Amino acid sequence: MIYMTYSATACTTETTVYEDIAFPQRVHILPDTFRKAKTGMSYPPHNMFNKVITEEAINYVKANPVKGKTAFMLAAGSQGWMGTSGRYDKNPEAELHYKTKLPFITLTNIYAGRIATMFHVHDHVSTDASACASSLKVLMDMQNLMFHYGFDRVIVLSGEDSVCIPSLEFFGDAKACLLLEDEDKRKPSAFDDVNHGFHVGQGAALTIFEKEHPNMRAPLARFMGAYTSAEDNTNPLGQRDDGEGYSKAIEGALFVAKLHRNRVRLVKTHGTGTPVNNAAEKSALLRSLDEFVATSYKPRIGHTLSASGLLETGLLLDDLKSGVIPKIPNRTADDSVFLSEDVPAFDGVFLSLAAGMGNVYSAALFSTEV
Amino acid sequence: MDFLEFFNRCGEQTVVRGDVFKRVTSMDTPVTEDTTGLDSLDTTLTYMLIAEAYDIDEVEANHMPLSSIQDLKDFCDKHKKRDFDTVEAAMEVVK
Repeated sequence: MIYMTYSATACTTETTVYEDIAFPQRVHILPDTFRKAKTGMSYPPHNMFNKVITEEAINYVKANPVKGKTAFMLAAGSQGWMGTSGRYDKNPEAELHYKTKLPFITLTNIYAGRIATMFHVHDHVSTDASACASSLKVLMDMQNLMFHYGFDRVIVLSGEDSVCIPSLEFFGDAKACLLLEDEDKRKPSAFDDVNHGFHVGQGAALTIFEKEHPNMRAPLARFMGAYTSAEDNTNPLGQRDDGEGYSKAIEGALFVAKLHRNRVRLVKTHGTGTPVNNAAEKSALLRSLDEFVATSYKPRIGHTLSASGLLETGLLLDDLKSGVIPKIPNRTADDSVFLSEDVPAFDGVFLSLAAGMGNVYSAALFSTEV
Repeated sequence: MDFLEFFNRCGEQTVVRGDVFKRVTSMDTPVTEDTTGLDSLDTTLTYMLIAEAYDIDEVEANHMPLSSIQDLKDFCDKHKKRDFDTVEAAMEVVK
């Protein structure tokens, strides 16, 4: 059996307005993470990741070696962080413009090697570039190492610094996120006919998965299985209305976990709230599961891109521990499935979903019964 | 300002694992992995911190010497645009 034994998350429900950019918008940022990164002293996500790479986690790994091998995975969402684009250089001196003096250190594999060293990991280091599905996608790789290659512990660090000029302009230009000009018409929400869309958010998560060993921490959850699928779609930036990719991911995860669909009664959705994702994810869930309730964290903390899958799973575990399954904010209709109100927490199997650009759909199953 | 202490504090802040860093005790020490424990990436980052503290131009910072701590100090003295009375004051800028 594989257990999740450590979860640290960094994100914020607070928002900050950035008007002096080509597509003015509200974002969820942790302001202190821009210290130094803004001037290029540090590689951009350094300060954000430092919020989850705790001494507690490092000391736990060092003090409790496992019999088998240990891996370190960086779910970075892309091969390189940051960058510049002349197209969007409306104001090169604006806050959020990075002047990175050491371009090579924004390559995610170099950062991964550095942090793996910090954890004294030297059996396996990898990075993943599956965009917003990245942190759940690597769980398929994690279970493969655990089941087939003699690994007993996998450390997953996930996140990317999405709150920077290139990312905000990309999402704004694509009308993928909510802009300031949208605010009098709608609020962030998911699976709602009136309110929809998301703000971009910073976020990071550090999660440790382990096979049982004598000094193992009290598990937060039991990992049941994960699967990542593609779908038949000519547009790698789009999603099919029928949610084929999500369905294949869910069914793959159920198969790996050897679970019947009726065991899943709680879903942490990808829940970006875009009309396209609303249609795809809702169709897939109604087709692939029986009775369930679903929530979304993105209307609350923004879209933390590559980190979102595991980060939101960590938040859900925190909420379950405090006895509540949180509603989807800003729903305008009563809904007992895609929750318009908080409901009491219950034990059992839950499903986490994520989707990433490039036709990547990931599903992971966990159980709170450890 | 005690430049040797400033170098050590920057190195300690940069290095990924504190147990591999070797504090330097002589200004004559060359900056190599053997003498400091800093690998090539750590060394680059340490030098970037020092350049940032003294506000040395990026182009000039590319020529900061590795031959000895004294040579590094001399280079910084020649190109710096600001200075600090104490190591603590300098570290406030780069931490």
